[in-house]
Amino acid sequence: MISLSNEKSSDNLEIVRRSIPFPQRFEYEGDTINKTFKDYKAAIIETVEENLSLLDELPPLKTLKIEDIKKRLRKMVEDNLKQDPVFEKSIEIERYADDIWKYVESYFREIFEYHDNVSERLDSEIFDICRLFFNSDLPMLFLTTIEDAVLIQKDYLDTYDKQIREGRLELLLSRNNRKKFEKLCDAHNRWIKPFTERMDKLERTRIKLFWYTDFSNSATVDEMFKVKSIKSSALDMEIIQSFIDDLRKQVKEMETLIAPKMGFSPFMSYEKNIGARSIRKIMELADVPEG
Amino acid sequence: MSFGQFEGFFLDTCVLLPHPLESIMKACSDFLKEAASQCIISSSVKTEALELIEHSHNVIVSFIHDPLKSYLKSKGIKELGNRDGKIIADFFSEQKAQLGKLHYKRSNIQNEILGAVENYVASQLHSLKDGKKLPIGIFLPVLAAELAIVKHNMEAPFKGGIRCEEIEPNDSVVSAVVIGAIMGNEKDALHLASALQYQFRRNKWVIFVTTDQKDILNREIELREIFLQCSRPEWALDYQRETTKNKAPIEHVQDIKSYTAKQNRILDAMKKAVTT
Repeated sequence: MISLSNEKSSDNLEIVRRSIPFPQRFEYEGDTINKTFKDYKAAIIETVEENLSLLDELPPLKTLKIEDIKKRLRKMVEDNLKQDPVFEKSIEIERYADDIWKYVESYFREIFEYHDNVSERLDSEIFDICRLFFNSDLPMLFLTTIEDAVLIQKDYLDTYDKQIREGRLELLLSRNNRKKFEKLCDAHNRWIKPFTERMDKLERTRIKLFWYTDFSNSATVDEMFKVKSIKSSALDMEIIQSFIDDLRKQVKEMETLIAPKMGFSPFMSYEKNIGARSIRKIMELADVPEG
Repeated sequence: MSFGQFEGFFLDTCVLLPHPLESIMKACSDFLKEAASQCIISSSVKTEALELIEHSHNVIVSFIHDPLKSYLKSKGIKELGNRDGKIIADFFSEQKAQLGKLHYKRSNIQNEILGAVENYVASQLHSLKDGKKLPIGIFLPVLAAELAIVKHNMEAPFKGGIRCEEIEPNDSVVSAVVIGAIMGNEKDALHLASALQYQFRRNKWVIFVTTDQKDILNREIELREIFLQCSRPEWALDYQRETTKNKAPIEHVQDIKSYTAKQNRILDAMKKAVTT
């Protein structure tokens, strides 16, 4: 859908862009090698110490002195580990697990940023539909139904982010445990499935309604998505009504689905929020019994 | 015999909406922070709130859409800035004058509604930065777009976050509440009857939390006589502590030696409601 945020400020802006410098890549690889070697050494020291600490748990020995054993054992374990491919593999896996942390963290950061952008785009779409409505003789239900459909999408994004924020730490902490990691992913996919299916359907219905209204009021393809006068006489209002009914039904379904996952929203300020103040004032007046 | 049976706080619409009085708003906010997980709204409260919010939003948007837009068009005004308040003021003056001539039965209310719309448009106009002029085709839709988000935020507590119970109170229970507590407002009677019926059906105490002094809290004694405890949000948790000392509702009424006429009426109604 065309929106204010999608409008380009200038066209075909061609400038020289910075290329990614190669040294950075080499530095990165160099760091990786150094880090790998350091990790390897640290892992050997740690494993040797772990073995030596086991000595303290042995009952007293009659023939050998603990200090002699320690000295000998340290050397034996160290030499053995240095030649053990299984041990080396375990360090490699640990390094991947650390990288997973970084990748998963970046993934979540990208998701949140992406959702912020989508949310801004949806705000812009609310404006678009208000502008279309203000240039039309369409019923109020047309406006409020599309607004509700856009706003429930925003609620979904908030719910999704909230859920992810709660689940991501557990996911990151379980990066070394394949079974647990898989289980968490499955659980995430299970809760998200009914939402995404419905949300896609809802968005399609909303856009169909917008397109039908806009295209039916366009004399040529050049007029599509342009700001113009919208006449209900150019539309089959029965079709519009059936779109509205369908969309309202889908919004209701989505609300029911999201409701248990929504936290309590705190009050908005009465004094500072002029819109809330005006709506509230009219609510009070509308609630006065007639007579 | 069971004690400490408490189901939750039934909220009136006003508890979940922004309030003009800061003290009331704070009381509601503090109470909800503490007890949101124990709060319930009946389907009647939810329906009433959503209908009223929608209606009030539509009143403002319709007004901006039709008479205001037509007026600006007729005057040849293409854009507005924060120094063009006089144009808008003239428009609302004309509207009020016309309303006075029409002698509506509820003309004072219509006038106040007009005032609320005027207040909204005026504040939005004055919030524009100095020197910035917006085309009418942008300014009016922006007002509507902002209002859509406000409306959505106001609806939010009624659509999620607070547990909602689908309750259809029996007519005889509603009548017994109207007669027992001399209720003037039919919708309030419906909300109270929902809470009362739920209390006896679950056999667990509930407390009806409201800030409505005039229509509900002033009838607190009458409502308590028919076994419904009402409270301002400030005292709701104190009432809850007291309530948990009582026996469960059904055992409590069984212990009463003789009933008043109001109690007889509500208990008869409740028997019908609980058994159907």
